Amino acid sequence: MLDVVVDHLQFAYDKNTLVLGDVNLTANAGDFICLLGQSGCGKSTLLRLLAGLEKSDPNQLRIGGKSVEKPSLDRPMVFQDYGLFPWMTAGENIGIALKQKYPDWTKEKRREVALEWMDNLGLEPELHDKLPRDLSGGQKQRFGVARAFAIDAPLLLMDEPFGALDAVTKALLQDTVIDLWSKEKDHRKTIFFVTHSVDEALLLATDIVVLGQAPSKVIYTHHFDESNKPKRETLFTDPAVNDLRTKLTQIIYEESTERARRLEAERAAQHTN
Amino acid sequence: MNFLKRNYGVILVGVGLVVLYILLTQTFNVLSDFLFPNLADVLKRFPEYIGEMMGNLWASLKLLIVAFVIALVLGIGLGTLIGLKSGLRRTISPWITAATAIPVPLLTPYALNIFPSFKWASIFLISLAAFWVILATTIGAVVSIDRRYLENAETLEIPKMQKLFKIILPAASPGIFAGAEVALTLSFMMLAVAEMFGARAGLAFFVHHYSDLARFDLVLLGFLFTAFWLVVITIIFDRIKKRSLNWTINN
Repeated sequence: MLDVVVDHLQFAYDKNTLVLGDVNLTANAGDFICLLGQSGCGKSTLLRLLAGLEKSDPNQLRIGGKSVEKPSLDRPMVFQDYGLFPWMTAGENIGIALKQKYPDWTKEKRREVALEWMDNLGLEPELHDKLPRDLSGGQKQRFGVARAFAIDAPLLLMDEPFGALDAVTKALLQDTVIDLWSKEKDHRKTIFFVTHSVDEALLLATDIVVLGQAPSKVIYTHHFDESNKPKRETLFTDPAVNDLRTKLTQIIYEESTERARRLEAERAAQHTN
Repeated sequence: MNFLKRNYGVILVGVGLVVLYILLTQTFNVLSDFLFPNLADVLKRFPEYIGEMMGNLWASLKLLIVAFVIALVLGIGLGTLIGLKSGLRRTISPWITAATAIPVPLLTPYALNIFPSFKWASIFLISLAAFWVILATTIGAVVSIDRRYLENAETLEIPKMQKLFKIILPAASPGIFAGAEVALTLSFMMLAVAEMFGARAGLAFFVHHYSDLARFDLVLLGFLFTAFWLVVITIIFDRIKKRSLNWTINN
C-alpha cells in the first residue's frame, strides 16, 4: 500500500561499473510489479535499493513520499534462497519477524499467528518446530513467504523467490501469492517481484517492467487492467497473452543481442587502438 | 548393547593396544619391564591410589575449568568485536598474529613471577594458550558469516543485542566450536606443563611426582587415569557441540 517513485535512478557498486544507468518508474499503492530482464541487468540491485540494503540518492528513490535510508520492516524481502535462519526452527523464523513488528505480543500469540500463516500457505502445523534443514525447498519458501506476509508490510520485495523450485511447487506458490495479494482488495500490498520468467511475470503482474542490459534503464512497460489480467487457465491459449509473450521475449532477446554487438564493437575498437 | 554396537570400532582398537602392550612387554620383552610394568600389576594399584588420584583430578579440573571459561569468554567476546569492526581488525590483526607466534610455555617464568600464586599463574598460562586459538577462529568465523543472514536481520530490523545473540553468534558457532575444540586440547597440554612447575596437586603433578620416585607402575596408572578423564571431557564437549550445531547439514 505504498507508492514508489524511481526518478532517474543511477547506481554503481564501484566507480567504473554503472549497474543502473537511468531507471524511471512509478508504482502505485497495491500494484504488483514484475521486473523482467536478463541476468546482470540490475533487477536484484533495484530491489536491494528499494529494501535499503544499498544506498541510493534520496532524490532518486522515494517510497511513500520518503527517501530510503535503511532497511525496514515495512519492506520485507523474500529471497531466492529462502532467507531462513537455519539455527532457528521454521516457526521461530516467522516468530522473530513478528516479535520485531509486534513487540507487545506474547510468545503464545506469536506462535498462534505463525501457525495461522503457515495454514494460509498450506503448511502442516507439525512443521512449526522443524529445522529448515529438514524441510523441502518448497516448504522453506512457503515459510519465507509466510514470514513476509505475516508482518503485514505495505511493500513486499521478492527476489526470484520461486527460481529454485520445481514446476509444480512453483505453480502452487504463484497461485498462493496471487490469492494472498488479491484478497486484501483495497489494502493490497505493493509488490516488487524479480523474475527471469516471462510466463511468471504474465501470470502475476499488474505491471511488467523490462530492464535493459547494464547500465540499465526501463525499455518496456506493460500495464494490465484488473479485467484483462492473464489467468493461469488462459495463459497459453489467450491470443492477446501469446502476442504479449512473444513481444516481451523479442524485446529481451533483441536487447541482449544488441548489447553483444556493442561489446564486440568496443573490443574491436580497443584492439585496433 | 547399543553402546557396544555403536562403539565396537573404538573398543576393538583399545583391545588391540592392550594386546600390543602385552606383546611388547611380557611376551617378547622388547620394552623394559621397569619403565613399562605389567598391566595387571598396574591395575592392582588402582584401589589403593584412587583417592589420591581423584584429589589430583579435582585440582586439575579446577584449573582447567576456570582457565577455559576465561579463555572462552574473552576469546569469543573480543573475537566477535574484532570480527565485526573492520577498522579495528585491520589495526589489531598484525599484533594478534605476532602475539600467537610466542609459544605460551616460554612465558612460564614470567607468569610464576608476576602472579601472586601458582594457581593464578597456571590459570593465566592455560587461558592464554586457549585464548589465542579461540580469538583467531572467532574472528574468522564472524568475518565469514554469510552476508545474507545479516541482510535478512537488517530487513527485519532486529536490534543490535538481539542480532548478536540470535544471529551473529549462532551463525559463527560452527567456526567458534572448531576453535574451542582445538583450544581444549591445547589447554590439556598447558595444564600438564603448568603442573610440572611447582604444583602440589594435579594429574600431571601425580605423574611427575611418581616419575621422580621411579614408580613407573604409578606413572602408567596416572597416564591411564588422565587419559580416561580427558576422553570423558572430550566426549562431553563433543555432545555439547553436536547439540548446539544440530542445525548444520553435517549433524
